[in-house]
Amino acid sequence: MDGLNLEPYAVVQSWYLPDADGQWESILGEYLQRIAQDCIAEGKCVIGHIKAISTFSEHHHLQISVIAADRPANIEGRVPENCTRLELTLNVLVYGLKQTTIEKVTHDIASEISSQRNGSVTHKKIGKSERHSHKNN
Amino acid sequence: MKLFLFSGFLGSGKTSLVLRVVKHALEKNIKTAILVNEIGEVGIDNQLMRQLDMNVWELLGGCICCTLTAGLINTLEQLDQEYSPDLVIIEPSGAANPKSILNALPYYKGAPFESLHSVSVLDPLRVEMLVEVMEPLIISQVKHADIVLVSKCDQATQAEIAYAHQIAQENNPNAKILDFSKDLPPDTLLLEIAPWMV
Repeated sequence: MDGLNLEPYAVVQSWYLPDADGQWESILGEYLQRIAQDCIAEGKCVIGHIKAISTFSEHHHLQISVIAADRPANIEGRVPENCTRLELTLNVLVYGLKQTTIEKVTHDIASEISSQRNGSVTHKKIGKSERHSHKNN
Repeated sequence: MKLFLFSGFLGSGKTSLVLRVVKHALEKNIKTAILVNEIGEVGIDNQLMRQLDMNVWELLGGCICCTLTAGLINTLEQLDQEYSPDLVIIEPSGAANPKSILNALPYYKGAPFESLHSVSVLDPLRVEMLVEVMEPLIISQVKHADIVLVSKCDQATQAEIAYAHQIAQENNPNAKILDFSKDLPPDTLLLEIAPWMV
């Protein structure tokens, strides 16, 4: 698997989930873990790091990190009570998959989760397509 | 100013370590700046560090060891002129090769560094897999360190930790190898990597 390219995918998502109070952490933790699992299902790839942050008032934030499809998300911080909307900045760094594939996986799972909960999610992609490779180190 | 370079693959625990060192530095009133490079156009770590009132300078939109090498040197010179920190911590992306960063540092024209330490963070949970699939990057990160820090020792098995030590010893016999876990008292780690801060 030498020479796997890294095409980073970054997005800011606006989530609306009317019934997520007290569950945001687990919902979004499972979301990032599903991204890792579905990326692996797409083919030969290595999960680099899938991480997200949502910031609230001063010093309050939710941070989620996934480094493998078979390990649970690491979750730090909490979402304030009675929250139905939040903005999530998400970085998906997976070696071996095209950015378009990662984008589709990321959107599809978000749509599935939000529709199951009568909510919605919109995506604002950040930056341009970029490839990264260190084949000659 | 003193300089620390924290390298290590994506998700190895670099940011947790940097946060711990910087938190301690701030408690000791050590004027500290963090220079963060994240692959991709948006930073997660810098948002977190800003939330924690840390002084963060970011290099976005590329890799610090490839397209942003000049940006790194310019930022270090700007930091020296405008902020004069006691301590600068560089946290490159986990995809970065520290060799290129260390090779670029001689082009820095600011006040001379009082010291330079290169710390490589090695994740024992994934090191075996990573050496198999992207050996050149992982080995280079180990080779160009004077301290190899084996992270997540509270989650890893003894065999995983032993393998991480083996990789470090085989590829960089002169490096100091330290085990790190979140429950380690801050002073224990700092005594090893930055005793002047304790």
